Amino acid sequence: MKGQGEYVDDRAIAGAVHVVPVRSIYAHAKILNIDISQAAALPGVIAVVTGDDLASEVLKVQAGLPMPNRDIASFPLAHKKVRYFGEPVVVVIAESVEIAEDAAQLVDIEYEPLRPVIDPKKALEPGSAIVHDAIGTNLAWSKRFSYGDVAGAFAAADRIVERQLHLHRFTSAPLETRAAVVSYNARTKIFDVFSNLQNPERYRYRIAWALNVSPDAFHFECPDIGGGFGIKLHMLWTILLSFLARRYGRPMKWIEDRTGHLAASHHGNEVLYDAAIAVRNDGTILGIRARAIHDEGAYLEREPKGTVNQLRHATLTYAFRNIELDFQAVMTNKCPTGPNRAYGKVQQVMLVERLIDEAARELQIDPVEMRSRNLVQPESMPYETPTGALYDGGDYPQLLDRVNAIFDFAAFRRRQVAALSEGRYLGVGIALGLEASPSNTSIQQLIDPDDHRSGDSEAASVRVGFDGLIVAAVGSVPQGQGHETTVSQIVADQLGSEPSRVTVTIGYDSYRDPSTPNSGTHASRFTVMVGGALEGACTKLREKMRRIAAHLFGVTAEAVVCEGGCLRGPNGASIAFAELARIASFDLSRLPDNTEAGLEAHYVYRAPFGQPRDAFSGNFSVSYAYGAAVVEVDVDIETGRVRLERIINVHDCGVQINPMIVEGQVHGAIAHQLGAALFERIEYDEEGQLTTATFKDYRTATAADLCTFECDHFETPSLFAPLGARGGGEGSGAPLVATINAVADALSPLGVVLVEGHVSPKDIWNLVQSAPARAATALV
Amino acid sequence: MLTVTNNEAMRVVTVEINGITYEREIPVRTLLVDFLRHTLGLTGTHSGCDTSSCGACTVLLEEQCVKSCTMLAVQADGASLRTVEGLAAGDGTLHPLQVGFWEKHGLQCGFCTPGMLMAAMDLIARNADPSEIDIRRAIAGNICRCTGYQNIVAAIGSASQELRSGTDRGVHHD
Repeated sequence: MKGQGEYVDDRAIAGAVHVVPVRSIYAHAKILNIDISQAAALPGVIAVVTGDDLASEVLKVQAGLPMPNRDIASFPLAHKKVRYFGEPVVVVIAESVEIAEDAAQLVDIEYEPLRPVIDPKKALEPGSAIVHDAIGTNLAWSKRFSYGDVAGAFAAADRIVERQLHLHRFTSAPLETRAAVVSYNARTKIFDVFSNLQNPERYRYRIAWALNVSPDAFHFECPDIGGGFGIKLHMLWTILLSFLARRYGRPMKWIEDRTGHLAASHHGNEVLYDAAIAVRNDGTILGIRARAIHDEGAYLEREPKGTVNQLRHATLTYAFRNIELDFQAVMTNKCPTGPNRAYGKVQQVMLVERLIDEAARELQIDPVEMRSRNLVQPESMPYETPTGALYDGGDYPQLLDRVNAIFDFAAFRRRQVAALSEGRYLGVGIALGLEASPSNTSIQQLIDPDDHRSGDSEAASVRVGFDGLIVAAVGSVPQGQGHETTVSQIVADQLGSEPSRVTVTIGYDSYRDPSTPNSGTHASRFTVMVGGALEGACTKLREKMRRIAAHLFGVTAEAVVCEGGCLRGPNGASIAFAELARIASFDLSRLPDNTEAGLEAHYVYRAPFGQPRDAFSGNFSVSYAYGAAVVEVDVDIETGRVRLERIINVHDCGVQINPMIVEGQVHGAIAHQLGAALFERIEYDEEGQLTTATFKDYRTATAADLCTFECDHFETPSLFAPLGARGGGEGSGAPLVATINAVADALSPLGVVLVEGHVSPKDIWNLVQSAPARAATALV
Repeated sequence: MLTVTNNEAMRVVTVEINGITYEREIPVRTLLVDFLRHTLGLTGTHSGCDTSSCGACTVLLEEQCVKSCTMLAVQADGASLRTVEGLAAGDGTLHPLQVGFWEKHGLQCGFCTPGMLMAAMDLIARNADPSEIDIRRAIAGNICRCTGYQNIVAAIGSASQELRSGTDRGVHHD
């Protein structure tokens, strides 16, 4: 706020040189020749490095990855072939960014353009060009997941509603792009990685493997991070910069530019559905089935995890037991996809909540009423879904009660009818969603049975200093979620102190902060995982302090309580944290036997996860926050403009440790999803050229586009999360679909059917022009 | 004066920033944002998009907000600038806008915040009593990806109210 934050680009690192990539201008092409001579000759250029230079020394990126990734190797630089627009082909290293950029212009790459694969459905047709010759097909992976009796449900249905749906590509595009400075110390053989990675610990092993060094050769430091949203989960650049730092003996600095970010970080999962819902005439949902084509882009760095992530909460808040998802992970010549806020959540909400709305319209049942008839009831909690998810409590009907208390649907319908008679198209949309957190790593076994990972873990350490202040450190990597504030609240609460007396280490530093190979910040895991680790560490520390104080007081530990920054015993006996810390560190003979010196505790929390139930199902999260979004719109059919009139969000993430921070997270998630529905769409032309390569074309939502969000919260404590608090930073995946449902509602008098998860003014104008009822309304 | 060093055309630039005069010889192609950040070490001003779309680089040039990523440092020669580092008083007392952001949880990752603050400075200088719509329009050139803008709008609204009431009760932070 005073300009004193420290982001990666803010630190001046002595001797650092600048790394600038030369990116592919083609979506699909063979690399015939790379002439670096002119670039290398420019004064100030240190080196120009190609994929060939790396291939002999950095080869193991794909090893250790689950299938099918093993056969689709990702390299830091393209090798022999480019597979998407913007793919890094060459890097220039120079004394300044400007010189590196000048030199990048001088690199002469000769390509042989190939037919690009852009449409994932066409990618599956015989005769399509192939993105990865090594697998000989564009279908990288497929698997059908069927639960209950789907065929029976569809046979018994009064009505089957079929839709093709498409959730487009978008990105949460953090305002700070990806960035790193890697230094190598030839004496200690340590790589110092100063970066804005969201979870460097998860990649430590793979990075080490790629470079053939010990995992302990890396010191990770993450300063302030300017937003992450999943997009700062990656490893290829760390491998590349580490390799360069070791080879050239200089710290390597890389600050991604915005075009590089939009073209070649990763995009959110794009899915095409051939979907159907089976319903009774009374609105009861009997089942859903869909072929789900995930357009993975050109490489599978983490994918196809986005597919199975949908199974963590496949039936969402509803009680139906029959569902089938036939996933196909398809390679195309586009930017790879990967985790983006509400990873796998918004994709599933798009499927289920769009289908429910379409079915409600055909059945002429009110969409809120239809949802109400199908909810899992509170008395069924904890509820096991057909996919094996175990919901940790909640009161789903209350969501709708609260929605109805805030938004008067009956009054709106009257206004809607009146407006329509004046040629104005108002609409309201609702969607419900779930946010599963954290992620059980065993979900990978649904993709690759030989992937032997399971569970999730996080570490915390807590210590009382000689001044009586508490210092806490955790393995999460904050990007603006207010971790320091929340940690201080949890610790103060656990140890009977005040948040102002708790210091939390800022950012993440692997030499200072405890961690596990699962550490980091993603999948809304902070509250559950860090909460669990802090609760464990504080419990250990509190019990130790009680034991020491009891020994000093000459009583049993049961007679001592920890409160108000003191240990209190019977008859007014009391000792302050500071004095206890002094004794535990300097006056050691006063400690009871078998007691370690110092007031410090370390704890590694392990989430209560079992193995998957079978190759298709299991419980892959601890907590399931849930919410409902209602969006009211006014659609101008002459211009296609959608005016947002009201945006309502009701949410239950269990115990809210800091309601203001929770609400801030909800605001951000709503904005991302409204943006994705109305403003933000990654677009490629038929040649695979990215046409949204800057913020001029990839139009993020601005303050003037949005209106005030009306947020409501209630708390039903989680039955399984350590503090009763669910993870909840992803807006339940509901606001995007609520917005689309609202536009669909507004345009329904025209007979328009929406299939997309995004509608631009141009899209709406086109839909209205070709609408079945257009001629009729023109006469009104 | 123009000189040439290592093929780079160089020029001396003199600017006053937050009341301090700086004189540096720089390559003529240096962007103002890079001059602030890397030549002078004033890293509170950020760079988020390279196309003057995101507003993270917003500073005040002669009391008007400009995007420093689309301006050359040499164009600012002789000018007076204000950056986020110059908002709080010398004793650390926060500007009412900073107080507003603090109290209303108007920032999460903080990357857009300096630019938002400078755009808001420009607004309240022009309009002492901005409506919600005025505020939303004034910061429409500044992108935030964390907050959905809601608490930023509230922060600027409360700061402008505070400024109007004249009871500047800055909070002191070390």
